[in-house]
Amino acid sequence: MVEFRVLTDEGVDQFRIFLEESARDGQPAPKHLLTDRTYSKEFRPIMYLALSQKFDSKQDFGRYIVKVFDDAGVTRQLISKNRNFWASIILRYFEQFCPVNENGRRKVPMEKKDQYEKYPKFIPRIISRGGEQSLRGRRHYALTSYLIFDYNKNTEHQADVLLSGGLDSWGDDIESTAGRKEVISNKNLIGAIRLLYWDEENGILRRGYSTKSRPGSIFRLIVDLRNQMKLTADWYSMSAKEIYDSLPEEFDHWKKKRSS
Amino acid sequence: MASRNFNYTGRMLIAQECIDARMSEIHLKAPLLEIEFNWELKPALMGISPRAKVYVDAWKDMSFMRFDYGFFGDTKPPDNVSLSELDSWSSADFIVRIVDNGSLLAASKKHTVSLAQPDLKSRRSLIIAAYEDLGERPWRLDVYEDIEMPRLVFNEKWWNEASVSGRPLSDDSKIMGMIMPSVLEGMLNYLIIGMKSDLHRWYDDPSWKGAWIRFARSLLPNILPPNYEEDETGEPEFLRDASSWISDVVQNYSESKALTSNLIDLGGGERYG
Repeated sequence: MVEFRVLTDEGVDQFRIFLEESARDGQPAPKHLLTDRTYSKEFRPIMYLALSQKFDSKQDFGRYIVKVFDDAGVTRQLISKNRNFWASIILRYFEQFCPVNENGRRKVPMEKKDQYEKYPKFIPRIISRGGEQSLRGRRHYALTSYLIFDYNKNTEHQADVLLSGGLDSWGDDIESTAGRKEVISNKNLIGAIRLLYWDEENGILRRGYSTKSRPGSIFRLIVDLRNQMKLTADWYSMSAKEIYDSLPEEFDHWKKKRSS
Repeated sequence: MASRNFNYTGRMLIAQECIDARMSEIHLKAPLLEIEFNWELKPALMGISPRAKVYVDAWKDMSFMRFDYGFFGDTKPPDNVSLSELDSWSSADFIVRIVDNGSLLAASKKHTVSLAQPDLKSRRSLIIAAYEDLGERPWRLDVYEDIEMPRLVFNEKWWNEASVSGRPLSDDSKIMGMIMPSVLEGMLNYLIIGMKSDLHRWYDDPSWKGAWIRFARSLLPNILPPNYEEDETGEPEFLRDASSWISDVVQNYSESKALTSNLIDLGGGERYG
């Protein structure tokens, strides 16, 4: 266990330089930044991270980080707008978020056209609105898993569907989900997503659930249909089964898979 | 080209005058979102089943909370109206929804409350923060009749320094605690004494002027503000009564937020020199 330190702005700049220049070549992550007083500083309240912790899935990571925060008394308000904090979390477990492949290289996703942050998967993009700053969490590997798990930690399935897959497996589905607070905060809707797309027997998401052109895909559910339904229905006060039963015909394909 | 939106859903609009909301600061804790409803101001709502549920959905950025206000026929605030789960404790957006068995019967438009905006009868904010070069003057209240929105103008040197240090002035409880009584007093001096406003008429004004008057009235609900009569001999009496009423409003505002106690707790009692 090590005491968690948070990167300074200079430390984040160094991390970004590593992502730009060395990460793809499989170079080791500059974790020394997290102990160097020039590039990192103490974080309060004191929080400890287990360096050897392995995460099998995003849910596993979310569960761990929420427990660490709870044990240390780290509140959501302390960290939800702290870019350097989340960049530091990624750096601490960089090998798991951005592993070296069999060719000795790393796949380092980037947003070339984003003039503010080219590496939002690793360093959260800061957004300013109405004079206040916040973080765009939906593209960040760690912040997204934290947000989704934290909202659903007291449910039976703890968002296992949305947070299935390894830390570096990332699709449009999770970004679309995590970018909508009316989705990630609605336990009943997430329950309905589970009923529709989760293959309980094999513990995986059903093939094609996130194919945008497919009728009844998760995008149709959480984007188009939800926007339409919220004019006449309140999915927050409906159970997962009630939402599931109220879905139109285009979702029958998935319902049949469930009953077969 | 003019355009109109048509609502074919049957969903009713909960008008803003039905909702009286404020965000109350609690020292070192999450603020409270306190809301009262008066459905009778929108007669069309009275056809809704008394067993329908009333919810307040509050959010800030990616954080969200739902508050259960019970039944439409017997609306009661939940035991806990703390905005503890929201990412920011300085402001919040919210919508009121009336729901029956999953069907949305009525909803309000989005409202915003903040610690610097004590009332939201107006759809617009009550005051906005700004910064300018004010020399050595720390802050100034900008308000005049045609202003779109009153401005609390901070000295830009101070504003920038606070922002760089990670504690923006508008989020600084100590600073705002010291400033807001004077802002309220300045605003009421302008509205009541400067403009000699007809307060009874302005109470329903949808602009920031009415919102400030309603907020002041809510702080001193049992004493009506004085009315100015077009009578020169009565002016001194009006000025005296108006000043006294404003002073009582500011006093009650300070009491309701325990401003001095909070300043002392926040280190405002340290000695210098």
